[in-house]
Amino acid sequence: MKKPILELQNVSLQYQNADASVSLALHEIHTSIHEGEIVSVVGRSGCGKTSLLMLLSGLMKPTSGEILYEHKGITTPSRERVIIFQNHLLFPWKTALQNIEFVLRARNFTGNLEKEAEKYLRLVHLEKYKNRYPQELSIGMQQRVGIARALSSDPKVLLFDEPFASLDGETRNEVLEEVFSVVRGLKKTMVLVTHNIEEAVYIGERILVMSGTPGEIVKEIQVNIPKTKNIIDMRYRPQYIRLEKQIRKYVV
Amino acid sequence: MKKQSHIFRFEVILFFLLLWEVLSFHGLVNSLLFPPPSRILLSFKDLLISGELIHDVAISFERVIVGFSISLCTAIPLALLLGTNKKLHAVVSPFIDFIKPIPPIAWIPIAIIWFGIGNNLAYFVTMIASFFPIFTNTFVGVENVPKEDLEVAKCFGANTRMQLLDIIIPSSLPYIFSGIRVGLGIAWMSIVAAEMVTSISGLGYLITANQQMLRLDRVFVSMMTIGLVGMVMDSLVVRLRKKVVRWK
Repeated sequence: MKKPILELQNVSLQYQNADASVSLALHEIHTSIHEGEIVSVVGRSGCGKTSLLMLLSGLMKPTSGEILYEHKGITTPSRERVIIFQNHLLFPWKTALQNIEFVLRARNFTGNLEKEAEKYLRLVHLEKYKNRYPQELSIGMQQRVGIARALSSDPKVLLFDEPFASLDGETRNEVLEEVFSVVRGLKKTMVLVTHNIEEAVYIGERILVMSGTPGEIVKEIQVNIPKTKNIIDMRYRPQYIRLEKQIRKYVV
Repeated sequence: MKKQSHIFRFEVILFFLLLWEVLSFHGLVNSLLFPPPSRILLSFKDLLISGELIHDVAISFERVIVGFSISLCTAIPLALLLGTNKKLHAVVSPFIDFIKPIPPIAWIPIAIIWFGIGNNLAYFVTMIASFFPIFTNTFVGVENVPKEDLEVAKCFGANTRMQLLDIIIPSSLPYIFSGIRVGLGIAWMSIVAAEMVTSISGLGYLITANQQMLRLDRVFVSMMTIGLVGMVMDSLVVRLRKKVVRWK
C-alpha cells in the first residue's frame, strides 16, 4: 500500500459574500490521496470541486479541518503541487518557450533554460511552436503547453481544474488521450476535477463523487476498468456503462 | 479600403484649403485674421530657412522630453509600489487625489517663484502635466493584473521580484502605454502654454511674439507645427507600443 501524500481531515470551507453573509462551500471532507495515484473528482458545477483543488494547492485555506501534504500542514502554495487551471493557463505576454522558462527560473534551474524548456515542449509535441504567443495557438495547443509548463516545475502532485472543458468533443478526446499518455508515464500523483464522468473514468484510478451545496464527498469508487488507449474504446464497455450509471446516481 | 479612406481624407483637406485660398483671394474672408494657406506656406518656408522654427521646436521638444522622462521615472515606480501595497496606497492616495485635479497651468505662478523663468520651470510644468496620466493608468494596470496569473506564478514558486517583473509589469504594459500617450500629449500642450506665459524661446513664445506683431500667418505656422510634432510623437508611441505589447 502506497503512503498517503495528501490528506484532508474534516475540511470545511466558508466564503464571505459581498453582503457579509457566509456561504458554506465544502462540508467535512475527509479523504486521502496516495503517492502516484490518479484521482478524479467528479460533480456538478458549483459543488465545490474547484475550491477543493484550491485548498490542495495551498491557494486557499480551510475554515476548519486540516490538509496535510506529506504529513505536514499546507500553509502556502508550492511548486510541488501545481494547479492547471481551465482558463488562464498561460501568460499571454510570453511565448510558449518563455512560459516554460519562467517556471524553470522560478525553481532556480541553473542549466540551459532554452534547451530544458524545449525538452518539455517536445513532450507534448509542440517544439515547432516554441516562439508562438498563446493566442497564436489553438486552445488544444494552449492546454498542452500549459501541461508542459506544469511538468517543467517538476511537481510531485498535478492538480487539474477541468483542463479540457473549453475544448469541443473530438479535440477534447484527442488532447486528453495525448496528454494523459504522457502524464501517466511520469508516475505523478494527479487530481483531476471535472464534471465529465467519461473523462473522470478514463483518467482516474479512483473517483471521488461530490454532490450538494455545501459540497461533500458522497461516494468513493475504485475504477477497475482496464485503461484503453482511446476514450471511445472505453465508452462501449459494459463495465464502463455500469460505472457511469452508478456515478450518475450520486452526482444527480 | 484603408488606402481609399486616406485618399478621401486628403481630398477633403485639400478642398478645404482651396476654398479658404479662393475666399481669401476674393476678399470674402479677412486675410489679416485668416491668412490664406499660400501665405502660411511661405511663412513656414521663411521660418524653416532662417532656422527659427527648428530652433524653437528643438527647445520645446527638449523641455518636454526632460520633464516627461522625470515623470516616467517617478510615476511608474510609484504606481507599481502603491498598486502592490494596499497599506501604503491608503496613506499616499489622499495626497495624490488632492493634487491630481490641479491643472498644470495653475502651477506656473508658484513654479516661477520656485524655479525662476527658464528651463527648470518648463521641466517642472511638463513633469506635473504628464505625471498623473502615467501614474493613474499604471496604477489601474496593476489593479487589473488577473488574480489567476499571480496565483499561477505563486504556485510555481515565483518570488516577489519575478512576480513584479514577469507578471505585474508585462500585464500592466497596455495601460502604461495608454498613460504615456495621454501624458505626452498633455506635456506637449502644457509646455506651449508655459512658454506663452513665461519663456523667451520655444513654440509657445513664437506664437506670443508673432501675435503681438499681428503676424497671424506665423502664429498659424507655429500652431500647425505644434499639431504636427504632437501627432508625430503620438504615432511614435503607438509604434513602440505595437512592438513592445506584441501579444495584444
